[in-house]
Amino acid sequence: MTALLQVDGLRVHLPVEGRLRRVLHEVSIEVAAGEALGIVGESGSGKSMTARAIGRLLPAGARVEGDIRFGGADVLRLSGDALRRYRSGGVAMIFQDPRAHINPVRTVGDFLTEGLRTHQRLSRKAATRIAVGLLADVGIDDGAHRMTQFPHELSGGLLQRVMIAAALAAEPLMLLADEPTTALDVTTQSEVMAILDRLRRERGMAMVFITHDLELAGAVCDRTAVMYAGSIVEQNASARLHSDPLHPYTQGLVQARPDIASTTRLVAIPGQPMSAYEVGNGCPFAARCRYRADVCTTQVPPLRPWHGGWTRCLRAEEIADQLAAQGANRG
Amino acid sequence: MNALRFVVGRLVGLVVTLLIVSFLVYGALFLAPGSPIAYLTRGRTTSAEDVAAIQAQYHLDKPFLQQYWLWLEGALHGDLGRSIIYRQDVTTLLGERAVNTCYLVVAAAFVILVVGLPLGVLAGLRPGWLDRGILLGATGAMAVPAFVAAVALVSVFAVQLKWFPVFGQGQGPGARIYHLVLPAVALALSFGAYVARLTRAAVRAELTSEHVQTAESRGIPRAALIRRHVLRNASIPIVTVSGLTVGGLIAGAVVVEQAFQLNGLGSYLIAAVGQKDFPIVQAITLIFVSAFVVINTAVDLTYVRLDPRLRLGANR
Amino acid sequence: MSVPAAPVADAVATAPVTARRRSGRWVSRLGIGGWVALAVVTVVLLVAALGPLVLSTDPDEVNLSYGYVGPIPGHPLGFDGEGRDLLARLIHGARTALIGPAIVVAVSTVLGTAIALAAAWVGGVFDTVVARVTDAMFAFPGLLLALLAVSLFSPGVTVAAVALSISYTPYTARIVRSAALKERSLPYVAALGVQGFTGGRIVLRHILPNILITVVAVATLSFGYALIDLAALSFTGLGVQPPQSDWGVMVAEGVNGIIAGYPQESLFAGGLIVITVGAVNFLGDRIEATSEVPG
Repeated sequence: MTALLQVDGLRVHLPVEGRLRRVLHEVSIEVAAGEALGIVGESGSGKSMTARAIGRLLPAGARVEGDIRFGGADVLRLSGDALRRYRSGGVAMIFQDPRAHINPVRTVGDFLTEGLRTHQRLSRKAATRIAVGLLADVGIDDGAHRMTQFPHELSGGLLQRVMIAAALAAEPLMLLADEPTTALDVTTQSEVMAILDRLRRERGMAMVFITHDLELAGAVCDRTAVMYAGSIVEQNASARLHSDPLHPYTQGLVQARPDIASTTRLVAIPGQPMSAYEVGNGCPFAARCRYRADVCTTQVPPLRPWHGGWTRCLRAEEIADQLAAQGANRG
Repeated sequence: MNALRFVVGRLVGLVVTLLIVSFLVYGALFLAPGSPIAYLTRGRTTSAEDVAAIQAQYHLDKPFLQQYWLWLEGALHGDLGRSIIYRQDVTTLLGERAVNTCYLVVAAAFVILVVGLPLGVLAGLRPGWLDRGILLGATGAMAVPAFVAAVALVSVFAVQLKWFPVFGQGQGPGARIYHLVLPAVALALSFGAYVARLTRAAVRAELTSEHVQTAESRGIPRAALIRRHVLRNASIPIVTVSGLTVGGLIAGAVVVEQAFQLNGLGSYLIAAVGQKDFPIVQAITLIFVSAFVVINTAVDLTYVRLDPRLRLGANR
Repeated sequence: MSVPAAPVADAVATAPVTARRRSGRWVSRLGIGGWVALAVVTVVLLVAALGPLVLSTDPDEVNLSYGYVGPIPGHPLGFDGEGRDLLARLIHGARTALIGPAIVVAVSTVLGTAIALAAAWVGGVFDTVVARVTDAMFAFPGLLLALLAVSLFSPGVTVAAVALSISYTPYTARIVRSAALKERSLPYVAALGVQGFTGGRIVLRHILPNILITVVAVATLSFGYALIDLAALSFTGLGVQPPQSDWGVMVAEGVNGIIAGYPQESLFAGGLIVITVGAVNFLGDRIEATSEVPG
């Protein structure tokens, strides 16, 4: 069965201070129709860039190599009408900061109906009816009134729901959610997440869910990929990520998570997260890895299947016991 | 409704500012060295009747505030006093000249809107050599003051190429427009360049903004995107900047009229200063400053109309 | 729940708890253009200051038989309508053209900055009033005020310079106030306050140095505007009085020459104004750009 989205060997360079710097290195992922894939990483890991590359939203001057296929079509070579159709019915993006991503001088109603009026050529009335229905779906009941308001009159949580509603309006096959709840406070986060998760499943949409929160990815996604410094270092079923990490970085993330029951000191990963262009030769995580050996700094490890998932650790077999024993370090 | 309150508030502010301005313009007379009478009559031989007439006109025997009030009342009724030199009503003397100045300023504004604004938009939308060229040209043009531009234009287009007349304003609508071309361009040059640069910056900022990315990600066609999201949003800072250029246009008009010997308020102001005809100086200053304040208020109100975030006093 | 990326110590080290100064690196951020502009401005200032001492030609010596004569040995730029050496007049004219703006900038910058700092620090009604007034007067045409002043007193640069200083103060104050408010809202200011430093000390020894770049940028731009306004005033005959040489005066006097077919006087003087103002504006832009924190 061919996947809905197939990313193969994606490499992206961005112009930074006049020079092209690598930000994504050999990213390969697959998402089947209706499936949700989480991409987890820290800042600089390239997770946002991956979503933007898929959505064809990379900044001007970016150099993209590799393959992205959506429903068989070559995404990177789309243009004109085909590109518009891809953006309006294929994938829909949900951004992190709704306040920055919605035009502040146009009404909420304008934002919601713009896509419908432009692509489906619906009349304003018809589009408004659909939009009000969508607002109800995301839990906003006084939709008709909200449509006449401006973005600054709504709270962050409400605005993000509006963003989700707008994404659904195009009835896309796949959602690209780039840290949709990071900018919200914790209570609102769970509300919005619940809505997003429910609607996605109800409508059978696929999703690529970007986040820095391993647990959150685990809760809403079937599979999760962990990224570090522009590379995918592990891909696994979400459920197994905690109990059975396949890569030292994932183990580090899991161990660093505070647990309410635990009384021992948090184990942090030493050093700072790096971007793809900052890592040296060999494994990107080598500099911060507690299992580092000489072989780790001499060759770039390939992403290979192991133990039911994929891992980029050269020493995975050797340190398998230590990776699995992470439970012993916690309370 | 908050929008109404804002408008009323602004209009009240306008009236208050105009009152303050008129007070200052009137009171300036008393800053001059010596007594007001000495100042008003200095350098001229004046008979006792003239002195008495001036005394009466300025109500100099009455307390200061009452003087101001009487003068203001007269001004509102169209009576701005009498010129000391020409012994005619100021209003009569200014009437036609005011119209001429209006033509000049409107013509310059037209040039700015029709040339400066589109160039700025073009430069903002298409980065590349065109953009760099426009930026360079605009930066250079900004450094050319109106009077230097006037002289240069006269030298090249009027004297050497003989395409345009040098001085005066001509009779009849066709000739008047013809005579206004060089003055309008001279006046519009540095401000048009400023507007072009600012428009370019505003358009560029909007083009790379996140909400435009959202529209892009939804597959909105580029033309609609530029119209509904980029230009619409960029119009806010552009309108704000336009308000700022009004002051400069007024000052520039004064000098340009002098350079081209146009018979307007500006050139008359300069003549009156030289001749120490204070009622004229007072009146023209009052008109100019009032125009400045009124136009700025109008710009403020437009700005609020464009940016809904301001209407309800929300945090931005 | 988030993933703590780095040890807590790192996070503490990067927060600006102590007062900071931005310096040093701005020199390299001026860019080539900025340095060229600075060089041009410096050259102009040097010529204005030292030129008259070095040059022996008398700028006021009238010799009607040399009227509008072109360049000859010893007089590289030729003569104006009254047979006065153009180069000498331009060099002497630089002084009057530049001293006025310098005074205007000095006074308006000091006054404007003082008012802005006071308003930003004290806040309350005072700040509201200052904000309102500076907003209203921000773009007020200084030339009008100068004309009014000249009509009250007498034509001349001094009167005009005072009037312009008054009219430029709100412009400076508004920009500096906004920068001061931003600086004041930074955590280190609150930290200093908690440590017991007086407001005056915080403002003068911490806030002011950190917004100095903005003040310098505004002052530089004001110089350009003041130069234009004063030259325009001289152009109309109400500033520097002929027969004194001044670039604005020379542009006006040269108009007769233009009509007669000899544009040199006006164009050289006008050209010098444009070059100086252009360099000053560009320099001001570059200085302002150096205060932008790299993203």
